[in-house]
Amino acid sequence: MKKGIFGWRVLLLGLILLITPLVVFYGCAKKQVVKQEASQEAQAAGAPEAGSETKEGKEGLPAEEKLEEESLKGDALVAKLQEQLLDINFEFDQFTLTDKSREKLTKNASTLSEYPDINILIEGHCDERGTEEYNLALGERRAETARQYLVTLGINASRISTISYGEEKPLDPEHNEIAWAKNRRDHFVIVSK
Amino acid sequence: MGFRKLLIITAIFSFLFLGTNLWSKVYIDINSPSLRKFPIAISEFKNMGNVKEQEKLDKILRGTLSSDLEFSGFFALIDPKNFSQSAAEEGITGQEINFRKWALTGAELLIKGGLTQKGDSIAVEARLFDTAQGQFITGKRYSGKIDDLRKMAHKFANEILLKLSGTEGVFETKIAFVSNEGGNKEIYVMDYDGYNIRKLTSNKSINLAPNWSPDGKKLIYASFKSKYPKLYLLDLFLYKESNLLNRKGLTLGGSWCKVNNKIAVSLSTDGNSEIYSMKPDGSNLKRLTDNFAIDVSPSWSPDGKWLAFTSSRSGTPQIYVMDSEGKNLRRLSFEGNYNASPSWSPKGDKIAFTSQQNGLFDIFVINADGSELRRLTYNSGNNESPSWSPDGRFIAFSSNRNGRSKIFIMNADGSNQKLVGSTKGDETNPSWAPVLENFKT
Repeated sequence: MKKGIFGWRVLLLGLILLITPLVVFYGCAKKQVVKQEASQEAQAAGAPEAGSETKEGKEGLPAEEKLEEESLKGDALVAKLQEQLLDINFEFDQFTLTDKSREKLTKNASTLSEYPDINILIEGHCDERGTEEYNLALGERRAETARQYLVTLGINASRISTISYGEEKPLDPEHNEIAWAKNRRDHFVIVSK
Repeated sequence: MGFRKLLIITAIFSFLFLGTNLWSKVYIDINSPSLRKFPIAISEFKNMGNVKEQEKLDKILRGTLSSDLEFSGFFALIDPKNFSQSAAEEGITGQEINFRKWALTGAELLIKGGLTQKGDSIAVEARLFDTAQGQFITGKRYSGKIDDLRKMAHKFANEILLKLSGTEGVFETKIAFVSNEGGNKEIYVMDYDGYNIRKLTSNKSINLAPNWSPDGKKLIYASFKSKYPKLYLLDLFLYKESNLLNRKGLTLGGSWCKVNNKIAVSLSTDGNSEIYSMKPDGSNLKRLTDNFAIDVSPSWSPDGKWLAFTSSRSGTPQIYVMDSEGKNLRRLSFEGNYNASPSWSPKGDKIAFTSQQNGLFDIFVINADGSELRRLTYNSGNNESPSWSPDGRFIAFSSNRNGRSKIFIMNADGSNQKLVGSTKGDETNPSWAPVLENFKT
């Protein structure tokens, strides 16, 4: 996994270097961009695995897409997608989704629809306050709520499993409001199909 | 000896000596909360033959007896510094004791004892006297290994309480709990006073919420050992573990009622935690709640007619009571936004639970009819997971008042709070064994 993340960082740096002149180009020559987008759509249909953020770059520099295909396989791809799947957070003793959580889930759903070959496990977590049993049940509801929302966004339910860890696996072991806010979360883990 | 048998014997003895013998008088009224403490002196346990480490063994015996009797709340210990100088040379039987000298120390009761040793076998004899009357109250002789010395002291403390109050003490009982000593939450068991710690699980996953079988021979607990949390049953005699219930979703709880022989659990086969009851073999699984909210932590009333549990159906976790068929539901807790982990008292009259007040958790007790809410812990960190002693006189709980969470015990009125947990980890979920007899591990 670590190796994969490292690979992603190198790639990200590469992307920034490649995209930067393009963005400058975009700002200077809007006309040309419109033309680019039209052809981009055509290409996107033929390359469904490409991430939307890099589409511009690919259009301008086909060599980049080739690089991505070569380097992002196996662990590296999983690591990349794992970073794209965003945690969502909850209020104390709540399992309802906030607007921010819905936004993040929409992004997660687009990653999942782009990569139909990956399955996910949603881990529901709580902060340390309250009883272990209640928190396990609460974490389960948090995971289940996210699962249902992803399903309404079109993700096949069979691709999503859930588990609750209650208060057993805090992200931040401190005992304060900041830590608690971080610990009340759903975490999305890519699992092998 | 069965508890019922013990009761009968106690009853017969009480009848036989009624009004005729000194110790038929009830020294201690166990139901009186504001009783006067009996001043008691515990004399040195003398070397009566071949004892190699008399000083060390005496220290263990007297230490255990002192701690038991003091914790019972019925006794005030006389400081040995006040014993007369001749006390150590004095014999241990009635004729040899100068009761006047003992009475002068303020002691109304006196424990005298002696030790004899053969290899690593040891025999302890102990006697209890009334100093004012110069009367023998009770005496026992125990023999066993040196390692059993604490157990012998616990037995004599129980005997003392039985003779003085008519009710046996809890000094031989066990408490199961969770500790993360070693990094993982595993199930442990210890004597009620924190000694004799044994680790029961070593599966290196997360193990939670132990619950005893009514005979005190088995433990139910939840474990993540096969990835998803399920309930397991551990036989403490055979040291054999089995699946209690293997259903999809979260399975927690495991309150086992002696009277109806049903186990109450929470189960989320449909993605939502509900209360169920079942037979110990997993058959007759019956759903008792049907609600969109979270329902967890069932606790049987001792007569098996009612269940207390935690439910968030009002929007926040609160304590509810329903009958064994899931009917006649009523809400019990109305104060605060977080009330959970109910524990029904062995006498059936009270329910202890955890309540969040001003950001911290504390132990509360309420009558089973919802009256007389009473707070037992104050200003001392978080206090959670109450569990009653089998005689209903004490409550075990976890508290992080000193930093890390540890197991504490206290009187059922909240007095005499005492740290007993001593593992190198965070300790949670104490569960006091429901039987008075010890078991071998």
